[in-house]
Amino acid sequence: MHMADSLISAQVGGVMAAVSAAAAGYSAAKIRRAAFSRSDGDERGGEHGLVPLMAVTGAFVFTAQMINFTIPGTGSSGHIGGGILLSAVLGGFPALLAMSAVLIIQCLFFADGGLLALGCNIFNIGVIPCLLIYPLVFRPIAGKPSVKLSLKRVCAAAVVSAVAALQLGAFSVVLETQLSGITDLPFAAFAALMQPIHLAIGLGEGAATAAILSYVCKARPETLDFMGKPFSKTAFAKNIFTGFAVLAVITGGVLSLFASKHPDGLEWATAKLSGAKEVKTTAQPKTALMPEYDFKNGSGGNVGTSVSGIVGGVMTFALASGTAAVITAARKHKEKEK
Amino acid sequence: MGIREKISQFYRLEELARKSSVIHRLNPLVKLFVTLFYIVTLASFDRHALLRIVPFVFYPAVAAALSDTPFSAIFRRFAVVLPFCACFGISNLFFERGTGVISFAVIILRAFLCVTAALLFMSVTTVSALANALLRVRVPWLFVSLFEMTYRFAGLLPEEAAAMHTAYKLRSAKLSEKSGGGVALRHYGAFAGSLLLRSIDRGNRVWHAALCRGYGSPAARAPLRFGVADIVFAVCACGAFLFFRLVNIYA
Repeated sequence: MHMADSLISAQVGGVMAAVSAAAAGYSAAKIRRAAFSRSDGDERGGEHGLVPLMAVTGAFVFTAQMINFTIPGTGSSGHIGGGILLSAVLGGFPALLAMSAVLIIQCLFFADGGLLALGCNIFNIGVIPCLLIYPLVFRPIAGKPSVKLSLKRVCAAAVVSAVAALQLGAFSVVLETQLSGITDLPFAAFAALMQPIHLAIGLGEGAATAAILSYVCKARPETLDFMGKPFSKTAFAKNIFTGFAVLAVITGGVLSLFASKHPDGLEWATAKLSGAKEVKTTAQPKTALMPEYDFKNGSGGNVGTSVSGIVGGVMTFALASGTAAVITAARKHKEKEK
Repeated sequence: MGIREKISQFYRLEELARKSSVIHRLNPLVKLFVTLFYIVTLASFDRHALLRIVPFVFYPAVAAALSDTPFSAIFRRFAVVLPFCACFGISNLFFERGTGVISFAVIILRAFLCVTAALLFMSVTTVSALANALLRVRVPWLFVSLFEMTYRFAGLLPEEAAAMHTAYKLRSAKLSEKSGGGVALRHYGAFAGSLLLRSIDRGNRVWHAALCRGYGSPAARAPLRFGVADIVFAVCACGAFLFFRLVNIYA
């Protein structure tokens, strides 16, 4: 479900980055406040205790995604997504930060998701399961383990939460792709394609998450966030709802504004600054080899456009490769001299 | 991709980042800014602006050559993204009449350039240098240390997982073969669960060892320097991106 940079527009990428940054900032503030109250005034002391747990469980999710499990009777395999598992171990807010760190590492080191799409990916894979599904679906289903631990309820909560998180995440991918306008996939067809696939993946991920949680519940239940902390409908859920409502209004408003009227941010900015609809130069047509994508006398028509495209593309690639080759040769020559 | 192959890929970029070149010596924040500027500029193009995107191949070509980064390391990672982008792009061939091929090519080329830029950035910047720079510009300690420690643990834990996986395969060779080298679902909970608990214990030990060695103390941080080379690189690179964005050189 990791989105690539080439599939989203700068506007959607920017807005989603702002939304995810706000969610991460809010989570960090919550963690700091909790850490401060735990550590008798020494803020860093509380954070010190949490950082290794967040980092190592984040790294665990990264590692566990490399280990596939076999889905019986299908001949296919799957792996955990991590959002729900991290939330169950760390709690919603630390889980979001841990998931963000995993997504950043996957993006930077494995090209799994783009830098511009990082905000979208953090929202789809981090914010939705950790801040939305965990408090609103997982905790109520898992019940009050402090009263009596029910493995069945924990497993049911894991499966339902994983399915719900993936369904919402997949729908969010569809929306972000549609708003970006990079592909021509019709909304209904795209959604009809994404949702059933992610239903199957969600069931597999839910089963894996349930299997891990039931093992941890038996082996070391105190590790889990929801153990011993009865769920109560406090201001937490209310805050989440209010926060998402505000974000939805801002996101919808800003996205629709930019996506429909100003598809090109830089040209819009240039036009505003210069007062012209398009930046035009007078020297260019005279010096260009193929002005306006055509032959110099303008007799080419479509052929001229195609030829100019191919020639221009090949020339640029050749020039770039040549430049790289010259620099490499010069560097090697210099190293030899040394 | 197997666990061991992924571990070697992980360390490959770290090895490349430890080299010394003009690009390696630049300020990490300047490199990060230029990379982001490059990706945002690319994303701002129209979906049919194939030719106008082509000049942007200069940046990865020149940066890879200057930093002695082998393109094979980048191509291998791009292969992971390619099928995903191609799936989305192919829809344009069917739903967009006439210009579908161009928008498909734009998606693939843009994906290649964005992936290359991000990977090039990490292949010329060590994580510790990046973390140090981020702390110097007052990015919260919680974010930076979380990123740095997750990166360190992400290098450690797969080794442990690979050892456990090998042991599992040896103990239940028949079952493992039947499940295509993976872990049977009925064993998955115990397998991944024990890995999680062992990881938490190990993480705490590593963390305390790091604290004993002065990790996180302001005294251990190197000063952040902005040199003439950083300014020249940022101005030239961003200037070139803006030029290619605003001026159609093929017109």
